[in-house]
Amino acid sequence: MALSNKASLPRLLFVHLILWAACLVATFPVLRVVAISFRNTDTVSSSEQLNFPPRGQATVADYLKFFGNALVPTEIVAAFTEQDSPEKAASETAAPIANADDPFASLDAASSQKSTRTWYSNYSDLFTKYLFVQWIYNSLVISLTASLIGVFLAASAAYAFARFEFPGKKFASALLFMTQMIPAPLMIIPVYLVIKSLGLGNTYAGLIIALSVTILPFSIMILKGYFETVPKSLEEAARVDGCTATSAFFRILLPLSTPALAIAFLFAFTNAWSEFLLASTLIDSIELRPWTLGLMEFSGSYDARWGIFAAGSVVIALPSMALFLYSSKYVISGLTVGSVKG
Amino acid sequence: MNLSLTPALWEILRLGGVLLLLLSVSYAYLWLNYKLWAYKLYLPCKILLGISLGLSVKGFNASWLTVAFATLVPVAVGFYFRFRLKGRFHTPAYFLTPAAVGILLLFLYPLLYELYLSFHDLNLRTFSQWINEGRAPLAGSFGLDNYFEVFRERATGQGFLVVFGRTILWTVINLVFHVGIGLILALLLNTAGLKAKNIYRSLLTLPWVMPQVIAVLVWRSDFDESVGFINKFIIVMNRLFSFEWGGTVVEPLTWIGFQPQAWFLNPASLFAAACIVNIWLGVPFMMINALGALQSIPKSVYEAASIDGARAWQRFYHVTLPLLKPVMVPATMLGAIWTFNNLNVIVLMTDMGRYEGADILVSDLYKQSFTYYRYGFAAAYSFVIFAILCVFTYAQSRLGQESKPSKKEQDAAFKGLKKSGLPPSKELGSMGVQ
Repeated sequence: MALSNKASLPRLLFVHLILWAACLVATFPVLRVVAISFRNTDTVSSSEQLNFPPRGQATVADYLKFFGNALVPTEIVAAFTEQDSPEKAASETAAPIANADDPFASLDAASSQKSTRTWYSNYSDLFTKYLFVQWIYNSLVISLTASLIGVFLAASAAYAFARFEFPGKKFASALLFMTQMIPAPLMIIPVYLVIKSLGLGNTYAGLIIALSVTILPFSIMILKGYFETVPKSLEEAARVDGCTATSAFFRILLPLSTPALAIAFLFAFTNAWSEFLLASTLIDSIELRPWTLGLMEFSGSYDARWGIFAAGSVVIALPSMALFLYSSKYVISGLTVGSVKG
Repeated sequence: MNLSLTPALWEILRLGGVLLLLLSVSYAYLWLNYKLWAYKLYLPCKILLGISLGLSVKGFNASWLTVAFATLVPVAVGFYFRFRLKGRFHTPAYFLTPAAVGILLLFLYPLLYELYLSFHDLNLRTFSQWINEGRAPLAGSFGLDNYFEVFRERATGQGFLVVFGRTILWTVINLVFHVGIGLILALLLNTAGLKAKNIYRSLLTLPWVMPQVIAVLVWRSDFDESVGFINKFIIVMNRLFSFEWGGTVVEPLTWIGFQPQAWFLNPASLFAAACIVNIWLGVPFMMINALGALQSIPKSVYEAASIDGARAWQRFYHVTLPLLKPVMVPATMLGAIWTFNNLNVIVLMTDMGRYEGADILVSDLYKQSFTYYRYGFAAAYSFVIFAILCVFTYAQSRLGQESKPSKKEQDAAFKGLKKSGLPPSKELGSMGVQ
């Protein structure tokens, strides 16, 4: 494989070809969702009917047009090539109605205005007609706070696990490992009960607490695995110089393990950011929803508004993908390190 | 639209205050225990405290389980201090307490409560009684009826064995494709002299970094029967690859199930669609793991192998694969548990359990509790699944111990992981995905 310094040219071309195909499959839904979000209809495809020549008559251009139509937001191109045409059309139709002294003129004008949708109207609807900004804000607040609390608790517990012996340690580790295997829906009903009986039902605080604890065992395992790789002698040296165990933890171990902390934080954040099971049981009111519940409302099987859904997905997915793409390497390597080291 | 931004901030401040209060209370409790554990009256006082706590909880109309839990926690703490801790281990105790309180309250207690529910008949019929009086009637046959019910035939035809078999199938199919495609892509990416490798890798990681909810919902919109892209794509592909044979049009792709259909209404095609989506989602994880391991294999090993006269496939089989194993085996095990427990994909693909016939164990559990509201039955069901997973993991760990790589191999793998991923702390800010 890697023996020859350079693979031969045809083989390289072949590799490029396969990788191109794989990239196309990998990016396909992303391109799709961008394309759909700029369609000014509420459906997924630009046209309900399939306009494709019958068998044997299709040319390469037809195939290109078929895929291009699915993946490229043609509406933007159209909007910029024939500028101002929707507004012109609207003013032309609106003008004679106003002259005719019709009692329903205002209603007609309103309905005709509603129907003029442009390439950005999915986005403008999203921000003006729905509480979308509020949902994003809720998700941000909830997942940031939950992962901060979770990582702090996990770091202190992992320190105790990695550096000290105490009676019942084996039992506690086994318990932590067992929690990994609990199926997710098992916890939801009783956690809901606990949160409700604490008086935290339908609040940010309830969801934050629940999320920060559910991610706790996993974060403890990641951090414990990393803490064990940090040499103990560093802390021992500090202890000799008169440092307490607490300040050794805060001043030596924590600064040394920022990568692992970042991994644990990112993992908790990712988890909380796209969580919807707990949120759907704990949160009732529409103002407190995270974006996951909001988007899922647009995609029901009987009342799907795919255009709005796609616009919302683009707004959410692009920043989070940028963040996670940047951090995915650390997250993935951290996962395996944690599991390799037990 | 009116945004309300300040309530959240106030609530978080309040939450922080409450948590700090809770922390200081638990620390004070810990300190007091360390002070008092040696006195003779310590244990009796603890038991008294437990009983009074239990009684006060009972005043709030709680179930016997809650009362027992409130009673037993102080008693257990008392015994632990008296007979195990004996005044030692100050530091770990203080470090563990915050997490322990959280886990006790939101992991252990819910688990016990779920166990309690699994012996009771809680569903929509008994729900109001449960809300008002805090208890539900015991299930039939001494409370074990829920457990029997799990293995009984169901009206939907989706009995336990059917769903379990489908779960195994789901896990196996997904893992095979994840590892296979991931390995192939990693090998391709590792080709010497490949240009634009980083771009390819970033693009191929997209399924992993896209929020899962969005990815699955976008796929679902495309699997839609009338407006989705998949059916149109299949029609076009069938026109491209079809030919005429004796007057009739033959479409070879339809023989492998490649035909336009209502993906959600037919159980088999719904399951196939879910598998396709999950394979798409899971490949990047295996790919990145395999790539990291491949890049950590030193070139000298291959050189040595080729000097010894190994051909390309021999080098792959005898050098690459064994050196990949220490990284890929744990990743595969992790992937197996994730896939087995993968609720999101199935639940979202079946539109929160509206479509029948593609459920795996966890999504069936979700459906039983949140679509059919059979809480007691779902509790029993979840413990059955939990037991299966425990057996599964135990077998896996036994298997892992038998074929455990030697210390040397492990070290090599670990170094490889470090090289491929985890950077030293100072470089974290400056290193992107490379």
